[in-house]
Amino acid sequence: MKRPRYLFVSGWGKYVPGFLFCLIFAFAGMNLDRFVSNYHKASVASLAIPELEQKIKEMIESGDSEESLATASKALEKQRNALDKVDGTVGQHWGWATFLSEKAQLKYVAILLLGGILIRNLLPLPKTFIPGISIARPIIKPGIIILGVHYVWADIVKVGGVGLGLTVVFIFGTAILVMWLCKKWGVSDGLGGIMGAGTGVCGVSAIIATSPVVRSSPIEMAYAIGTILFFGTLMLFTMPYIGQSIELSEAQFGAWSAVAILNTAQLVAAAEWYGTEAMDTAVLINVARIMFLPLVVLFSLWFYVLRTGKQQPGHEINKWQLVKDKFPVFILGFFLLVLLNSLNLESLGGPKIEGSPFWAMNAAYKWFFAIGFAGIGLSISIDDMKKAGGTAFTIGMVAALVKMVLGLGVVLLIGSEWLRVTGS
Amino acid sequence: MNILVCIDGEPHSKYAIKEAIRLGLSLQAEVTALYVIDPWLKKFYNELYAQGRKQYLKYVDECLQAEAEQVQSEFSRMCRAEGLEASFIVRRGEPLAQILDEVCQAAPDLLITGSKHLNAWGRFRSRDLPRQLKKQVGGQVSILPIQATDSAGIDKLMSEHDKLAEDDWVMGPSRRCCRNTSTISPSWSTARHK
Repeated sequence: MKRPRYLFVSGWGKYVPGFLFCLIFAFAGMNLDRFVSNYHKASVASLAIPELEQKIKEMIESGDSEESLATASKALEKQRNALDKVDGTVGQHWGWATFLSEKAQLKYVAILLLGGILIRNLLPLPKTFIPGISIARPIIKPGIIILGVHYVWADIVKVGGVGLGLTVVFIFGTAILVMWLCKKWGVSDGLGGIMGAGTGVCGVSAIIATSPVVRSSPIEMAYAIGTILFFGTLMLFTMPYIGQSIELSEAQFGAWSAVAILNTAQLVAAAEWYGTEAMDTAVLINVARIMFLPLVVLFSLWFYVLRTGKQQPGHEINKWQLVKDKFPVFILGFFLLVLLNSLNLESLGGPKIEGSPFWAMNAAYKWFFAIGFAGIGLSISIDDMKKAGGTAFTIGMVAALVKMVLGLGVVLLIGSEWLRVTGS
Repeated sequence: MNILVCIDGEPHSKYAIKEAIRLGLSLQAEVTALYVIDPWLKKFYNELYAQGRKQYLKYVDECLQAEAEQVQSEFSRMCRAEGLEASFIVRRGEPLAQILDEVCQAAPDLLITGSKHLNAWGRFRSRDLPRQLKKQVGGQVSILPIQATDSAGIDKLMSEHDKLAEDDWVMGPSRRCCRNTSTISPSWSTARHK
């Protein structure tokens, strides 16, 4: 019997071990997160239960309304459930869980990223795992599409509008400025083009999209990719702590990470680490950011090739085809879900309506992210980051610092309200 | 006698080629150059959020192939200029693994690599292939890392060890000689015993 065509990717078997490893690692990370979180919640409940019991007693004595009593009883029930989950009793305290959850912010994102980095760089990870790990990274994309159920068109107009403004200034601004300065300071076109796109738009993805257009050499690409990975990873692990220390709201942090962090995967990870609200804002602004990719590639083409007359004779470039090729098609799925969520269809429900299709999708997105983060963590190799160097390193460092400082200033000025996704 | 010279197109590689040619002529040895195409850049194709992965992979392949051809042409030119007939091998993969594989298959008597003087930061960032090769196959084959400043040092080394040619490069552990100076760091590890 003939095998159906296109159903199998050739050599698919080589992806299985690494992908399975990512699945198991993601499962372990999520469960460890839940384990720590359960004990932390039990600790909180252990303190809250006596207070709530006292409050209810006082409410009964003072003859409060049944409605307020029901609310308080519900809250007490919730705390008792949290304590029951770990078979705990009132008065017990799990300080380690509170420390890990609150102070160290050991959420599944951190577990998977840090754990992945440690496994990749300290343990002898079999080479057979590498192909599967590399295909686990893009699993974030379906997660981003599913996140469309978190938004309605009003969010797209409000936060997306602010995000579009930020994107134009920071993303397109950085790309144009870096390319212009590189040209002025005699940096080769190949390096200037990919560093402009990489620091401006979406990191490694932009470098890959731009390199064939500006004809970068392999060494320039290696320097640029190493630099972006290095600063992206550095920002991923420092910015959430900076944000927390200056008490940045989740919405502000989401916007800050979306304009400052050089690589898309790292920015999604940092925002998810900071909180769901931060991630909602970051993903929306990031969507605006990656929509600019075709335009930045087109700009690079004009800046380095067409404007300077370096186009090879007989090699006509179809600009429309170039824009189409570089357009991130998956974001159409994201917008489709935003549209469906905005239509408020009964058959689809909503992310907060238990048992509905959108509720199920909302529950699933974290698993897509977890597999993607496992792939990202296990792909972060110190050897790859060691490739950072030369002029690319200086450009990357300056761009990262400027975007970080200016981005922080701008989100502080804008405030939380304009950056908060409501989802309703 | 077989000499395998590992080259990567960087400036210090040229000194390695020069030494390989010189030793090839003086010892009447068979010289083979090994160039490894490192497909490291290709593993990032999945990062692309847009279409065009195939275009990227094709572009990287073309660039890497062009670099290999350029290195081959430079090597051939240098060999022709000195009147030496030599072979050129291209392999694809992780450089260290490919060199080790070639050493296992071709069993050269001498392995010559280019080498750079590195400070502590440079050593951290570098793959330091000569050191890694020495660690992995130092006991089976003589490894000669060549730096730009080595020519004079090698002359001296050659005159001190003229007998090397007579002995067909077979040295026992007791005859192992190492040079440790601040700028010159070629070291003759124990030769492969035939």
